[in-house]
Amino acid sequence: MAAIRRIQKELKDILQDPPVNCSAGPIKDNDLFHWQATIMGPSDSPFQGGIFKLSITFPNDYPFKPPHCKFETKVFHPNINANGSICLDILKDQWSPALTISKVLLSICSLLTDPNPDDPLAPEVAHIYKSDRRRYNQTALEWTQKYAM
Amino acid sequence: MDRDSESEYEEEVEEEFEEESGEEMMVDPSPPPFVVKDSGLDNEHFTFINVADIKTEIDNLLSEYEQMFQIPSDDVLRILLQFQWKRDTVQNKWFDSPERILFESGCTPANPSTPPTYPYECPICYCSYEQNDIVLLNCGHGFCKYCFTAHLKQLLKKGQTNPQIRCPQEQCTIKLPSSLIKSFNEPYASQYNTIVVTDYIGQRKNLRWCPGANCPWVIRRDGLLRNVACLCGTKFCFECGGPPHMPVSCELRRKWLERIQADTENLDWITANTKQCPKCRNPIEKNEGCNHMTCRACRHEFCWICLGDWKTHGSSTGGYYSCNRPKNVDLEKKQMSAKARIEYFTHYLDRYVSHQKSHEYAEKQKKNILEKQENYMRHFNCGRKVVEFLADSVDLLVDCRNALMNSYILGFYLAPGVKKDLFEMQQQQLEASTERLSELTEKKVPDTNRQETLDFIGITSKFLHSMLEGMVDSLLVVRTDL
Repeated sequence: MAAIRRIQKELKDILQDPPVNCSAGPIKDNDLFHWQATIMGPSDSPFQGGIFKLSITFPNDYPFKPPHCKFETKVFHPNINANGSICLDILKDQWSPALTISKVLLSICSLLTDPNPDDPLAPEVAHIYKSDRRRYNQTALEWTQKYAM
Repeated sequence: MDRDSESEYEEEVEEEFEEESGEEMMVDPSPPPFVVKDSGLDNEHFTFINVADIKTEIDNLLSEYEQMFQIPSDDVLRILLQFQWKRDTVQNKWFDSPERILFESGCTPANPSTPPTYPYECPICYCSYEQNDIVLLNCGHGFCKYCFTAHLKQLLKKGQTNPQIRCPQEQCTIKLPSSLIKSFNEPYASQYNTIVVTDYIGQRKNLRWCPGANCPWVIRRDGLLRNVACLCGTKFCFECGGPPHMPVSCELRRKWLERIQADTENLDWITANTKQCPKCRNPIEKNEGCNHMTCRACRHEFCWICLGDWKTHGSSTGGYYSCNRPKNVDLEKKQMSAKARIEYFTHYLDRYVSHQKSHEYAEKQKKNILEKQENYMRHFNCGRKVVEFLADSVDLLVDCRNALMNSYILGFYLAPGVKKDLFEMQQQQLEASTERLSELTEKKVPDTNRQETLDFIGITSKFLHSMLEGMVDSLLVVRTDL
């Protein structure tokens, strides 16, 4: 199966040369299709100091279909909803089979720093982000301290 | 019916039958393929096209621009897809800057990457390949042909609608040329063609797929009418794809449907379902289509809509069927009082609901028409051709009820004036003739009058057309005080 070889190769690369502030690997040794990843909150964001857990599920026709990524840790963010689902173009219609988990995790990191409030998954958070940035930063910081530390 | 008249009738029927079949013999041996027998909807305003013809239309467009711009057909297609097949936009952009439009359409890369050296590692599966196994795009990105076909398979599978297939490399702006996609084995070429054709149809205002399940026809609108009867039997509105609803526009119909959903709880319009006999006060539930009611208890004949004596609705009294105008509402006044507004609304709602019920009943009649035709053939001992009028009459009845139902939405929104007067006159004619047709279709087989029914099919269909066609212009003035 092409997907298994590709995932094995990605795993090897990510262990050898992990992306900045991220780590990832299979949850169980015998199941390559379910991974867990962690992202350290970027330093220039209210998520600084937090450790965020994500679950990653690879579809059978990976890499021709995007992996399914979800936050396991609660995050106060316009593009991440209460279920942990992430609204990110490269995980949907902008997915390319040449992308890797490593690049996806880096994109999620930059999404934490730079939300996209015009395409929100959590509209109320997006509204606060746009209208009252201080309150947004404050709440995001509180959530980080409460759930990600 | 006594013996004599029955045999006379049969003869008449026989004669007509022969005449009709004789006529058929003389018809052009190769009749146009897209003729529909339909009573209420005017298919001369629509052309039925198959996908192969659309394909030819697209090919012609491609070769036209190929010659005009002197660029390959692959580039023309990518440009047309990028700019939604809009000729003006494409031409203007081309004459502004050919380089820019080629870049924007994904024909030329921003900065081509260096060509690969072999053996080459496919950036998708990370395996090494020789040149033979690599698909190289003009952006410099190469992929092994196995991964490349898997990428195509994913983007062309059923349900996909985007004909702009991207280079598999992330953030690359190149769109794949159609000749490359089609160079792969089936089914990619045909799937890609389908997606392109569907995109073309979707972007053209005068084209639409028939919404019928598995119907292959594409409909082109040649006029302003909106009611389509597809060759597959599906009837729909060309503009919204919902059920046909001329003479009222999609917008006003939606407004109306929202309104009656919001208002029904507050208004006592349930009376449209059960009413009391105006004479003996016995409760009556209407379960058949015609508005000419006869009370079972007292035999009083009355009109279901206005509850007036049916005698006043006869042609002998001048106003043949005059209960399509609201009473007690002063239409000349610019502003209506709250009470008048409710009355005005209720007037139209009552009639709308009444025709809606009748429409449902006519649909039921249509379902049972085969059985009735069999009975008729047995009873009068005649052929299948003779009983076609039964089906024609209920088909027409369904269309008329639908048009009348929707005409009360239009009536509700139309501002008073000459146009509305004309419209109400047409509506009144159609209503009267529809009621008569409805009565004729409800008769038991032995009492059915074929000639009269045929006459009324002719008259009613004329009234239907003049009402529908009279109301398609954009000069209609809509009330703003509702």
